[in-house]
Amino acid sequence: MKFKNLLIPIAISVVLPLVIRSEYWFYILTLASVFSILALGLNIVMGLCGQISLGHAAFWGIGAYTSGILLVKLQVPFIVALVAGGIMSAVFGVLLGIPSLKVRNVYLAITTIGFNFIVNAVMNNWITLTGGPDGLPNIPPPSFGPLTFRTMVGKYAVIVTILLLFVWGFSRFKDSRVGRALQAIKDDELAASHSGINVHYYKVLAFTMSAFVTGVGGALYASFIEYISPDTFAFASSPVLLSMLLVGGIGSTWGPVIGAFLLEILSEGLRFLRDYYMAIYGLLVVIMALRMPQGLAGLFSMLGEKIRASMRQHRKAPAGKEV
Amino acid sequence: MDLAIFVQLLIGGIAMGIIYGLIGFGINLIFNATSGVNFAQGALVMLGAYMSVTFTNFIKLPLFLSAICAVAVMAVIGALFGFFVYEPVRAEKSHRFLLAAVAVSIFLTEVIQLIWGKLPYVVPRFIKKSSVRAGTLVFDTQNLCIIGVAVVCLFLIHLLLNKTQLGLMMRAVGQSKEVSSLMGIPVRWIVRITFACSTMMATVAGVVAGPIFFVSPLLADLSVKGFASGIIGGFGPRVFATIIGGIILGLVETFGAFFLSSSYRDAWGFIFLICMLLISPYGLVGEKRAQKV
Repeated sequence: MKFKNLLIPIAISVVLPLVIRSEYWFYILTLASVFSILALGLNIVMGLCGQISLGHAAFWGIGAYTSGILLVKLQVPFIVALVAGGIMSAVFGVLLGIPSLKVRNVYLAITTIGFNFIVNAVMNNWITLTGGPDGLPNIPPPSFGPLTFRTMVGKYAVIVTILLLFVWGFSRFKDSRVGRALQAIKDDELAASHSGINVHYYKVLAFTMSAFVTGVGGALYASFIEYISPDTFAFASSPVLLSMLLVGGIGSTWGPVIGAFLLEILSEGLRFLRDYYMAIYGLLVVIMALRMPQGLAGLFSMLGEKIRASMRQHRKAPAGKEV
Repeated sequence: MDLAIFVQLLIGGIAMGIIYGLIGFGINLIFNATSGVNFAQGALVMLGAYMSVTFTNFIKLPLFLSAICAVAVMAVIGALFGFFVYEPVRAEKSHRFLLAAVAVSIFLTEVIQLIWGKLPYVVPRFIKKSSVRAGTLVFDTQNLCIIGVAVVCLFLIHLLLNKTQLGLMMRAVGQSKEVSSLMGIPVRWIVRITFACSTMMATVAGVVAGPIFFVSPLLADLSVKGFASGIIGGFGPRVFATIIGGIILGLVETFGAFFLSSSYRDAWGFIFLICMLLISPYGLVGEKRAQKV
């Protein structure tokens, strides 16, 4: 993606604070940005490399706990905790990547679920480190040097900036040599390995990078909510991340962002339906999964193509008449 | 170690494992017929359990009759599930069905909470007397019932698969859809029937697990254990391997919880699973086909 394509999203995210005054909606938007980062992380391993992961809530949790514990118990600077959250998560990404070399499909899906359960059990039971089921309270908000982003708008600014950086990075990465190698593995592993792609190396790399991004998302989540508990990172959260990716569009750059924002805003917008909203949300995801495999991002790019094609015809038509 | 405790743990582990195994069995039936992975099996287990609660607690049918009714209703629902969720994506990569099934399980979990509420239901035990004694040994009657019911169900499904024309057709479709349809087998109907059978097994698991776990949305978590047992046993045409896998998983969990730490109960099974996958990536008797996408 060229830099100019990022200008519209940047403009939107700058204008939003001027239009929206409600603290509550800022909370929703910031949360949606965090989820966008998490879904973007999942997109690397599922969208680019085609490996199923149903345990990404574990990476989210590892990032959040690493950063939270460092901030609360060791009072390290925010930026250190943020990077440490990503790195710790990436280390576990390598660990989960190694079985992915041997097992595939259902077997991989269940291995990742198992990983999620194991990580969650540790969070619940290593009470001296994690605080156990009570969680870890009083995590300080994001800060850089003397600057502390205590308000909702400040947190929004930090998180959206990091989100846009990641989106830009992802779009660059997608069409890089490594990104294309991952997509080749997704299309056909055998063909990829015969084209000289080191499948083992790239699969582990995909898991590692995916875990890093999701871990950073987790660290941001910890500093944003200022409190974390093991329930958030239980296995039940993994399908939620997956459904965001699914609705937005697997493999596309903006897909995870669109999905996360849509589902987050929708789940707030449908609150007037009270108990029914989660069911409607679920139904929507089912329809998307069955009818629109490319997700909303695919729909948008298809519409864009059509508009461009009709514009081209429009331009040609008068010229034809003159002749 | 005391023999009595050992035997009790053994029976408890086997009973628990059989529940896992029954769920895995249903998943494997569908996997064989469609090479699709049904992640909504847990939601179907839950729905089956709620159906039987409806028949016992609201319509006030006797326990046995309500279980039969629940299984019958769920068979229809299972076939409809196959029709609405599997068939639209059947021509595509198995990936798509997996994602659709994940979405359906989110949807069903919510719908169930809307209809039946969030509070758990208490289901009566199959036998009023809670334990029987044999010398120094004490057995939980519910565990014995689970084992009994499972043996009967598995025997029936064995008869269906191996002694009837329908079973022959189901196995044929599992081997090759093209050739089956050339032989005049109505493949789409057979797949629907397979979905119905799989859902019936899920319902049986939900009904027998009801008195132990209570009937609540948490029952859906059992599906993960069902998958794990399928993987330990190995997916493939040897359908009964999943039951063995389930029993191994149940025993590992029960003994792990007793000897090592009960708070890591869920984790022991998965640690065992991952270690086993690293040694033998296809489970005990799994087919290599499972690896193809």
